Amino acid sequence: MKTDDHRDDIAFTERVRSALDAAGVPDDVVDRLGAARRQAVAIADARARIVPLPSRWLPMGAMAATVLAAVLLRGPPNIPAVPFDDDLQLAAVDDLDLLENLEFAAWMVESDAGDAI
Amino acid sequence: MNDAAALNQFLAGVERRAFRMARFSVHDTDEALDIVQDAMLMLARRYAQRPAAEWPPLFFRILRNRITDFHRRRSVRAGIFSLFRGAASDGGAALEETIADGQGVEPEYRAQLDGATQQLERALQALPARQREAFLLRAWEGLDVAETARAMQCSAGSVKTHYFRAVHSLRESLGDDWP
Repeated sequence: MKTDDHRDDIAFTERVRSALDAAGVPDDVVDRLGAARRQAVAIADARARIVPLPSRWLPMGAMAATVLAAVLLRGPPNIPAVPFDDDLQLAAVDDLDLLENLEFAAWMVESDAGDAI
Repeated sequence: MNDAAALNQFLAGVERRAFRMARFSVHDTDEALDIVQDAMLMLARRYAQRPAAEWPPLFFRILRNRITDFHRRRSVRAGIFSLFRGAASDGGAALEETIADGQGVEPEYRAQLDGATQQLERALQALPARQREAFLLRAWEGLDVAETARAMQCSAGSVKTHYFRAVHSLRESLGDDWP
């Protein structure tokens, strides 16, 4: 019967497991397995102690971000405005007008003086 | 319990079975030890941070891959040497026969085993590799079908098939009177 066969399989597997568990391993093999295990655990332990790079740089990054935010919130530094080229040209034109006005004023003065004579 | 202590406990629990599983496959104590050591180091380097519940299938998957690498290297070596000897196929067959007869078991190792266990080891070694893996992982290591499938890198259905065939092959070769 299928169920009996299945039960036999389970019982057989149990016997195999017991036999495998009961079989020993030579002492020198046990020692070498233990040494290999200790080496593996030491490696895992050493790797766990290494602080991951992002964590190590995190405080410095946070500080840099804070400084940048503070600078941005304060606004741009008070630097005197440098006139643009257009402004310079306009200033030049103004100066020319003034010069012409001065010439005109001088002519007027001279004219007035001539009239007075 | 910290990670290192948990890993130590896990490896201490599986190392002897892993060694014997490797030994069933490679038939050499030193090679089996090297394979288990490699598997331990690989687990520690790459997967120690993973949850401990994932370690069993990962460890046995690494172990299995190392065993496969061993056989691959041996095949390449045998192929190279056969060029000089001109008898590759005969040598391979002779090796398999030696193993099947249990002559591949080193004397100091054989001394540890009683008659019934030697008979069992021979029967296990005679199984096809996939059947032996499925049987040992399921029946001895106690992995469930899904974990065994992860370790063997195959489907759950394949695990069930290999396991079923392995149980019936072993029952047939060991007989009703065993042990």
